[in-house]
Parts: sequence; structure tokens; C-alpha cells
Amino acid sequence: MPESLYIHIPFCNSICTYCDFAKVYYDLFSRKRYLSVLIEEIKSLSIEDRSLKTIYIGGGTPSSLDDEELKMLLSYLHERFDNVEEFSFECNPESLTREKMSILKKYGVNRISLGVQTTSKRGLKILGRKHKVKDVKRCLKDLKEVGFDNINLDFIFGYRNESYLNLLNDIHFAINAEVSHLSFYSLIIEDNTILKINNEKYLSDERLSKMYSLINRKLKKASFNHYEISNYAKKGKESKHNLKYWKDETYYAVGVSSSCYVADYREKNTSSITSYLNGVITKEVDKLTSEDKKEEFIMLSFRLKEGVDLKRYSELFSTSFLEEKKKAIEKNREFLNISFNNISIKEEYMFISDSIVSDFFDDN
Amino acid sequence: MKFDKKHIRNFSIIAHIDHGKSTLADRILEKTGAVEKRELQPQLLDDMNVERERGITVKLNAVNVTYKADDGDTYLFNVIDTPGHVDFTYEVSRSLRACEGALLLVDATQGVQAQTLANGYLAVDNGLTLLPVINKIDLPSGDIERCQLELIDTLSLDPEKCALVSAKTGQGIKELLEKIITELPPPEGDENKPLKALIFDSKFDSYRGVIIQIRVFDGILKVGDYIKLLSNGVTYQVTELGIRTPKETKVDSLSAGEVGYLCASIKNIKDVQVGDTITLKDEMISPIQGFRKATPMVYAGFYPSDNKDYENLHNALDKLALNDSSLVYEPETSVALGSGFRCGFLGLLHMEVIQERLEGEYDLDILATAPSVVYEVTYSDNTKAFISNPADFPKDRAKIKSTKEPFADVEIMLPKEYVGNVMTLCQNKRGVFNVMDYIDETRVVLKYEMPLAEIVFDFFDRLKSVSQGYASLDYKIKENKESDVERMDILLNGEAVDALTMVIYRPTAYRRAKAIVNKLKDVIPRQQFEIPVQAAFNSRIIARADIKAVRKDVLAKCYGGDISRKKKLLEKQKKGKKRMKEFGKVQVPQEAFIAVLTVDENDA
Repeated sequence: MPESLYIHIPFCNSICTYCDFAKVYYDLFSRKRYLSVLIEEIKSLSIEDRSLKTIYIGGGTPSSLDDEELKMLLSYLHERFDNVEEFSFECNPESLTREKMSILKKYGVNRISLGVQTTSKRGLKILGRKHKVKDVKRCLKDLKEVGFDNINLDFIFGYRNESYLNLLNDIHFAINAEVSHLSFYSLIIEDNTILKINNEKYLSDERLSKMYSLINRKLKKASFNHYEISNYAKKGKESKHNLKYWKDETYYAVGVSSSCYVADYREKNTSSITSYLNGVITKEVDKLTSEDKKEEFIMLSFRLKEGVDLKRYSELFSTSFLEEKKKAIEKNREFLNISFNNISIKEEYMFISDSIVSDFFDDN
Repeated sequence: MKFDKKHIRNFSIIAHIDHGKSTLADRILEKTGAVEKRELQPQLLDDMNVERERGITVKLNAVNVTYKADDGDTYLFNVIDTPGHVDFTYEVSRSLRACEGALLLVDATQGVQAQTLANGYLAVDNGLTLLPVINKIDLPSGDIERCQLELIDTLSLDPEKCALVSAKTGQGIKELLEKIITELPPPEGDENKPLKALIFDSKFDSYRGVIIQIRVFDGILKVGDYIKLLSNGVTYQVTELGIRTPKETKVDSLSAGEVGYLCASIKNIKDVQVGDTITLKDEMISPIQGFRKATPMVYAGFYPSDNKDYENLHNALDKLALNDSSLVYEPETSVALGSGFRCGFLGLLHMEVIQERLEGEYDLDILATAPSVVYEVTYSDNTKAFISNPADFPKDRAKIKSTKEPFADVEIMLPKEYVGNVMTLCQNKRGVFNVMDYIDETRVVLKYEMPLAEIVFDFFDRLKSVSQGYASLDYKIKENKESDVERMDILLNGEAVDALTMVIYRPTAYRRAKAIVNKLKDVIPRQQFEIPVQAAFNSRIIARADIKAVRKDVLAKCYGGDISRKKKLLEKQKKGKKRMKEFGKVQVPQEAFIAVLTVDENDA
């Protein structure tokens, strides 16, 4: 049975220009009603008490819930799953008050993911972020005082006209924050985002590639482990919950538009907040064939520094990865690290991994 | 029901592309009651998927409908559709031959366009009476008066006679139907003379053999008659005659002035040539003028992207050829692409249409090589070879005594203000200027002699662009002439790709080679390493460009909710790769093989 649970909170005080997640303005819908449907949905899953190892509350902006709402959700979770190893909660600097931190702490949250994105004023404006750098500083100071020692900061690079100096400032800020985990995402301009509608363009691939190398180099020096394409952690602080995704393990998910992976099924909840609020949770169901499973396992494994676990592959699919994918391995040999137990993409080629990975898809 | 000639009207609808020809045809069918509106599939005359998708008519169609006019009489309308591209100019002229009149359709929002004129002149040349029809009058942006003025200026058409319609809403269609009766002449011809009928289309039916669309000019044709095709003298017995309403309806006979179809258990469509004349077995008559045998002028290699599909491709070509007497093909093998077929076409559009039908109707992934003409090579020992595949062209010039390539007489009709542009274009395409004739104050005809190879290499598109779409083109193949050409190989990552080999004209070879390698550099996607693209004569490199390595290609985020979607993206990428051909480690997309053609030396 899955040992992880994702909970989606779709409410936001403002909408970021790059965001394509399910979200709604804070005041438009009843948040209390949403939380009670959410709790009913968790109940309906019949998860055994104390059986979860990780919980991740993401959004939207989970920290936009008020104190009372937080208590409503967290007390329920804490009562049933007081022994989770990693309990993450996503926050925006502007809505994370010291009071909320104490509530999170009290109910067992032990990992905070804070959306910093950039320290450049201009960058924040392009990305549609409403906070200021001083909000981030306040959060960091308070979080540590309240007793959080596992903190992730999210950054985005590659926004319009970002200079190397801008990026360097962000990297230094991240290192000096003395947190345990960092994510640096190359900006994606997704469909149906404000950026896309405004016809925002990407920086050149050459420039992004140089930026990516710069991040890798600087964070390695600061002894971060580059364990996934966009993720960096101090030793032992890799995100347990996210590793479940990349190691192709199963997980529950609740909330509007959330996606779970249970047994052979990937299911996605309705994206309609109104039908969700009425308790009508329709699902898109995708039953995975063994070929689908292989592809997902490969796609996800190659995101990781350790790459494909050969032993696990043969256990899962009763076939040898080396033999089955001989052609693709041969073709991409110079981009791969091949060891006795693993095949992974060399760090310097991680930024061009899609075309490598697609070679490993169904070859017939 | 039989109609006397004065109650018959045979006409075509001619128009520039997208001016609403097929929609108007649909509306006529609907208003005459030939089809119920709810049965009406948009653009009923366009049978093939390719036609509906591209909005162009390739194969001809004819429909017979009856109309009860205000004078109380019932009339028979034979509506004959026409294709609209230079590859098929011959087919257009044949189908116009079958008519006495034509509706010249003009889009009120766009006015008179190149093909309006080109087809209009073609109709006038064939002795047709034109009835101008201005369409889309329901659109606020339409300018009827401007269209009328243009029609006077260009074709001297009386604005009083214009029918004003909206094919979309049906407005003015009734008035148009009345005008067809009053303005277009009925057919002439004599039932008592020996049979004379024109073939203007044919298609294959697995039960009845070849179905031929005909227009009878003189005499009467009955079921059971023995007929003779004048071009080859072959005879058949007629098993079925009929008309399309648009459903096929059998009749006992077709007489002078009428349009219909005939079946005669004809097994091989190659026996039936569009434009040929039919008479009865023992009659001696002179053929209808202007008949031309359709000969393939452009050859290209067609290869299945997946070698497993070779047999499927073979079967599909067999089937397509049943309905298309101008398509020829034979097996060939390429080092780079494996087993495929060298196919011959009327022109580039014909080639594209066949390719699209193979992909759309037969679900095949086709890789087409650059089209080529047939070169005549005389070796030092005086032996001769005709080469339709550039990869068979000798590399070593020392072994060649002389080379010849086909030339064509080209006629370009255009408004005089574009003469300068068009002359420059023709010169760049090795055209030898012959003469310029004024048709009237505004229009001229330029006549050139030009290598066919230059015409098939995207000459038509360029002609349209330098004349803002107003020039129209016709060409007739003449003979092979001596020409200074040489084989050029393209190397990717140091390896020659036989499917990209081409034969080019030496004096402009360097510029062209430069343009081609630059174009390939743009078309071939960046890969994980840098790839040199080179052009070579024999083994001497004459041009080079480098494809830079890919620098970023990754999904920055992939969490629980992203997995299904991202997997689909990667699958799509994989599929895209599958459509590409691998040469060593280099992946080359299909477009590359065609892109080399659309190269402008001036881009170099």
C-alpha cells in the first residue's frame, strides 16, 4: 500500500504568472467547505492509521489558509498519522506568519518549502510574486526560532533578461540562508499561464545551459548533493516524499486536480472546484500497461543522480535493462555513467536528458 | 427522363482557391433538390479526404441536377468541377472542354485573383461563355463594386450580368440558377453524326472496372455499343451508362450535348487517358484537339519510414495507381533509406497529393527524397544511360562525355507591372528569354525556354511570390538538351547520404551548395553533439555548415501530478524521432529531403 499522501490546497492570494496548477483566488470559495470535503476524501481512502511515512501539502498556496483552517486540517492529520517521517508544507513568504509556523510545528509538520523564486525585484515582478526579500528573511529567522531545521527554498531562473549577476545573487542568498534543501527550476512557460498569454519568451538555450552549470558548480562547492535534475540537498536531507515520485513508488493524493498512483492506476481528480465543493469528485483514470510502467520507471529514474537501479528494474519487470535497452545505451554511451548497479546520466548532460531518455522508450 | 439540348446547360465553376467554389456547388445541389440539406456533407464534390482537408480539388467530379425554372420548363444542369493547380492545368482545360459555360466565381472580400484570371482565360480560350458570380456578399468587408470594376478591366465582363450570391447563406442562389439558363448557351451538336465524346475523368471501381466521365459532342451512345479510344485504338463494349444526381443513376443512352459516365469492363486505367476521344468501333472521326498523354516529369524515391511497411506501401501504390493513370513506380534500394520505390509524377503538387494520400488514407509514414528529372548521360565509350535517381549519376566527371537534361517551353501570363521581377526569377532559373507578347494594355505573356529541373524545384511558389500571386504558368516539355550538370553529394557528420544526392548545374553550384548546407543546418534539429553538414563534388568539399549541439532539453519539474503528461511529451518526442531517419548517429527529419529544394541561392 502507498506510504505517501499528497494534499492539494488550491487557494491563493494572488496568481503567479508562471503557475498552471489548479488554483483559485482566496476569497471566492468557501475554504472551510473545501477542507471538510478534503477530509472526507481522505477518510474514503481507508488508509490505515499511522501507516504513512510522508505527507506533502502543496498548492496553490497552503499557507494562505488562516489559523483556524490550518488547525482544522492539521489536527485531523496529526491525530491519525502522528508518526510520519517527513511532513512537508508549502508556503509563500507573505502569508507565512509566526503564528502559523507555531501551528504547523505543533501538529507535526517537520519540513517547510518556501517559494522564494528570486531575490531580484524585477524578477519577482515578472514572475508575479507579491512578496519582498525582507519577507523571506523574516520567515527564515522565525522558522529557525520556532524550531524548523528542514527547510527547502524554491528558486526559478531564466526569466526575461535575467543576468548572471542576478542569478549569482540568488545562489549566494540560497547558500547563506543555511537551509537543508534547494530547488532551482529553469522557468517553464506552460500553456494557460499569464506568461504564455503575454507571449513571454525563453532565454536562449546556451544561456540557460550556462546558468544551470553555474548553479551546479556553486552548490556543489557549498556541499549540496545534486540528487535530481532541479533539486539539491544537504546530506540525508533529500526530500523523502518527492523521492517516492522519482523512484516510481505509489502514493495517495487528495484535493482538486490532484493525481494519485495506486496499484496499476494513475488517477486524476476533477479540476472543477465547484464540483469538488459539492463533493462530486470525478476522476480521470489511466490504467498502466507494463510498457507504461517501464517507461515511467525509466523516465523518473533518469531524473536522479543515481539513475536506473538495475537490480530493481529486473525485479519489477523480470528482464535485464542492459539487454533490453542495449541499442539505446549504445547510442547514448558517452552521456551515461554505467556502473555495476546503476546507469545514470552524467551531470553535464542532465540538462539535455529528455532526448536521451526518449531513446529508452519502447523500441520494438 | 430525356432532355432536348435547349434544356441542357453544361458548365464548370472556376475560381481562385478558397473563393468558395465547392460551397457554391453544394448550394446549387441543395437548391435544385439534388441533396437534402441535412445529408449535405460540406463540399460534396470533393470526394477525397485530401481534397476536403486542403480545400483543393484534385480529381474532377461531375454532377447532373434538374431545375424547374420560372418559365415553367425543367432544365438539366451538368456541373463539372475543376482542379485548381498548375500540375493539373491540362485536366482543367479538359474539363472546360466538356462545357459551354463557366461560372467565374469571385470572393467579394478579395476581388479578382491570379487563378480567377488564369482559369478565366483558359475558359475563354476553350470558347466558353463566362457568367461572373460574386460570392460572400453577406460579409461586411465585401466590396462588390470593386469586383465588378476588376472584372471589366481584366476579362471585359459586363457588370450588369454579375450574379450576387452568398454561397454560405444561400442568398441570391435562385437568381443565379435563372441566370444560368438565360446567360449560358445550351450545347450544340448533332445526334445523327458519328459518335464523338470526350473523356474528362476516370476512376477505378473494383466491380465495374474503370468508370469514365464523358461529354458527348455528336451522336448517340447506347449500352451494348462497341466503342473505340482514338489514341490507342482499343475497343470495348459498353456495359453501363449513367449520370450522377449525385447518386449514380443508370440510363440507356447518352446523346449529343449530354454528360455522364460509362463502364465497359476496362481493367487497366492506363488505357484510359484524360482528353482522349471516344467513338464507335467502326467510325472514322478526327480527335478532339488538345489531347496530350500524361507523362511523369518528376521522379522521387518514396520509402517507408519503417522498413516493415514496404509491402504495405507497395499495395497502397497499386491501389492509388488504379485511379491515377499518371502515377508510375518501380522498386529501388537506397543505402541510407532501405527498400522503397522510385515514383514518377506530373509535378510537385501531384507528388505531395500522393504522399498525403499514402499517409492519410493508408496510414503509412513516407519519406520522400528530393524530386529529380531524368538525365541523359553519354559515357566516354559512347554508351548512354537515362538516370532518374541522382544516386545513380556517375561521380567521376572524367567518365562522362556529355550530359543532357529535359527542357520545357514556359509561358507565364502576368500583369505587366511584375515583368521585371519575373524576368529576374527566370534568369536565375536558367531561363532563356524567347519573346514577350502583350495580350492587352495590362497583361503580357513571357515565353522562356527553361530546364525542367528548375521548374520542378519550387519555381511555381517563387513565381507566385514575386508576382504577388498574379502570374500563372504553363509549360510544355520539349527535348533533352546538352547541359553542364554534375552530381553533388551531401555528407552528414562525414558520411554521404545517398538520398540527399542531387544533380546540379555547375556554373551556380557553389552558391547553391552553400544555400543547401545552410538550409539543412536549419532543418535538422540540434543533437547532443555538433554535426558538420558538407556538400561535395566527387570527394571535394565545396560547402560546409555546422549544426550546433543541443544545450537544453529537459523538463525542469516532474512531481506526482506531472508524470502522465510528461511521459506523453517524451513519447511524442520519441515518435518524432521515429519519423526521422538515422544516418550514423545523426537523425534527419523528413522535411530535410524536401527542404533542399526550396533553397534560394540568394539566401546563401
